[in-house]
Amino acid sequence: MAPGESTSAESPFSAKQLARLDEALTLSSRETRVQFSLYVGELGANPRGQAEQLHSGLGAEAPDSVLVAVSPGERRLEIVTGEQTAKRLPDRACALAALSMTASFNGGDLVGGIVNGLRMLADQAGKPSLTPR
Amino acid sequence: MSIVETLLVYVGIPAAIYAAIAVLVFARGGAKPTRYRPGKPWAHEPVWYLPRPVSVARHAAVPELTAGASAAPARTARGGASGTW
Repeated sequence: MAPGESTSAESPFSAKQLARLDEALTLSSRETRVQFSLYVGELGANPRGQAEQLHSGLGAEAPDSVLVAVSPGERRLEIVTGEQTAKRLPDRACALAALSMTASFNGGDLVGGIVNGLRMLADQAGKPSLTPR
Repeated sequence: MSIVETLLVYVGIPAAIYAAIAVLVFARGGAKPTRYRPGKPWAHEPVWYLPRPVSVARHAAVPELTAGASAAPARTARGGASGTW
């Protein structure tokens, strides 16, 4: 961000876009029992480290969580899986979703890319196993 | 028709129609969020969205999230992917 430019506290998305994001997050999480969460904002000089730190901030939910961190200003996307979710979402599947998302982002479609990426991750994770954890 | 009536019908009515259309076009989009364009800076506060909880009880169990620098908890990340565009 250019110096002297202030950040606005307003939501970067319209109500319609927020509804799409909410639906995508909620449906993929309920379908798979994986808690998907979405971070949109700056990731700093060490994006991977910052995203992993955010993931650990989820506390007890972290092993069952997948964090999708998007930094539109730095044109950077990070997908972080936890201990349980890494077994259901191998790095290769995450990379495929990341590729699809960045392709949309490059065209300026932030929300569409996020929604499609979540869809792909949820499809890959599949239904939870019947054995109780 | 008098001159005033002629002017009203042939100038006044078209002008009113143009004005109405202009108002319809420009009245919208006042509070529309700025569209993202790749390469442009992102002038928004960071936001973090979680899925809607199934029940309120579960919602209460979710800890308050703090973005940015905090006491570093144990590393929980096991894998994932990165991308740039």
